[in-house]
Amino acid sequence: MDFGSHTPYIVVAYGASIVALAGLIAMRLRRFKAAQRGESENREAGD
Amino acid sequence: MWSRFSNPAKFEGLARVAAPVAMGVFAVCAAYGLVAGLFFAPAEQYQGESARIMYVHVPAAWMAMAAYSFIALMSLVAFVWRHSLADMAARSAATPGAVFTALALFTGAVWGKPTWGAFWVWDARLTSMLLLLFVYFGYMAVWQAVPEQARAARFARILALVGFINIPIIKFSVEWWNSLHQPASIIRADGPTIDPSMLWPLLAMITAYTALFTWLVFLGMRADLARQRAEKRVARKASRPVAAVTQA
Repeated sequence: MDFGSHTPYIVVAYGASIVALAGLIAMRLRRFKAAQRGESENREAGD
Repeated sequence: MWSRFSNPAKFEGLARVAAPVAMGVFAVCAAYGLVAGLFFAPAEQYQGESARIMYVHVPAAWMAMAAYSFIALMSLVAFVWRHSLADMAARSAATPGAVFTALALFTGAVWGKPTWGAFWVWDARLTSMLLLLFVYFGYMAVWQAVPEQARAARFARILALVGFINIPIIKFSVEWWNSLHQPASIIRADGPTIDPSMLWPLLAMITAYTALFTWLVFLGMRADLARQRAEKRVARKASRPVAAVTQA
């Protein structure tokens, strides 16, 4: 990737976007899995 | 239509179908938008290569405002129709909205340096976007700070609706005040002013970010529903011995 003198700006902008969105996706997935696990453990304990 | 999805079971059914579709749309549109925006779209006439930041900056800014508008709409629905899932939807949209706002500010600053010569200026558009980030923080803080859920929901709805005043200010700030920020170039009465070779990757990235937001909200709501069901089961279990004692 060579965009001349603007390369660092483009790399930083795209890099930050990819990292932030990947972090957001990972956080949501972890929270969702934890909630599902909590629900199934709770159900098993109740049965 | 509102009442149809106030039933959590019906909503879960919708979310199970819509979430993978949204994720698929995100993957396809983001792949096309990133490749086309970085490697096939031409450099901009005046700003040169730095204008490629547009393909991550504009979708983030669009989603920052769209997510907040969604929160305000859901807050209104919760206020007027007492929809059981509206608060949950609004709350699930807050974190993605705040991240999109922070990204719009950050990528805008990175784009501003080679274009304006400064990372930050106290321009009306930039300042109103920064204010939006603080409103998001306030909205999330209300949910965390108020222990009683019903009260937290009421305060959060009020804050969301009052904060919505900022959305038209952000949108029209470039027309109402002298601004370094360029005016709207897609949603205009006389049509977009961007060349199709740049417009299509940009529209693909906007679609990708919108699909990702949809998926994140569905996932957040499903997590909240699962937690709610678990809490209700614990509460039911805790109330059983009391009932037995009462009967005896």
